[in-house]
Amino acid sequence: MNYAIDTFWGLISLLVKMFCIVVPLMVLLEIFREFDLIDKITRPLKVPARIMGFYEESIYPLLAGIIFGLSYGGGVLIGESDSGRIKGNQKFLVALYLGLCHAVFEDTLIFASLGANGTIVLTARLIVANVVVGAVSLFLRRDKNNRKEIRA
Amino acid sequence: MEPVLRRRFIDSSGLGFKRGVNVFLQLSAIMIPVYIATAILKLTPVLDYVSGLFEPLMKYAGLPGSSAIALVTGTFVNLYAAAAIVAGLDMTARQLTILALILGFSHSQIMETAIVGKMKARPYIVMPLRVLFGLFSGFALHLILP
Repeated sequence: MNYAIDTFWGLISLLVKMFCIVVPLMVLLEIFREFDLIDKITRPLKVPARIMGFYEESIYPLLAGIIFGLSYGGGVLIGESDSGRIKGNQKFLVALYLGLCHAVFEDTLIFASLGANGTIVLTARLIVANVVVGAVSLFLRRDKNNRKEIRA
Repeated sequence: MEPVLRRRFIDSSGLGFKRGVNVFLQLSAIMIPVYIATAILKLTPVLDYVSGLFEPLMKYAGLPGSSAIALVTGTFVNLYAAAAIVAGLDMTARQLTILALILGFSHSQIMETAIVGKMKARPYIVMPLRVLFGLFSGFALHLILP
């Protein structure tokens, strides 16, 4: 019975936390978009993102996911893909990157607090995520048809 | 603030709020059942059984066999559940670093794979790649770390 109650409160707190992060992220996104600010924020990341095969539209969900977590970046991406801005291979690349590397502060701190070396964990995670996604992205772009799809 | 600017600000915030609530509802629809299913899974012997399968593999990452249960719990449930188990084990900083790296790539797989599925972003490829590169990175770090 205690277990059921703990599970229930765990679920409630997860949903509250999600609401408190996802909604402000989407409000900020729409305000940024309305005032053409997204471009200014994502500009420094445009070149590395392009090399990795990401589009400008993907940078905001990527940043949201890397900082806050897969669910939050994924949530923003679901919103963007509902409106048709992000699709196909782009969605897959964002999901793969976030799958390998998300909530970098929270995840690293959980184990650093137990005695793991956070610097090594975070550095290795970033390197592997970038190499894997870079390689998959190159693979997807290997012929012209796919290149079109990835640009879509 | 100028009236026009204020209107644009209010309108875009309102649109963002509506879309945010919509996304929240979509995520909840998947997260509530998955969260409950995972809680039930923890009550069954499945995690212990899978840990038994992983135990012999642990030494290739320089980890004690007993940490298999932490690895498997983290992979299926979440990092907090894994950390609670790790806290009860006697592990060196080096072993903790390796375990943290593997789990960094591959954790909360039931929940997060469901979300990738909701994103319609090929969960059947993302999930195995996370497990694969998690283990691979752990083995590699074991070889590199002094």
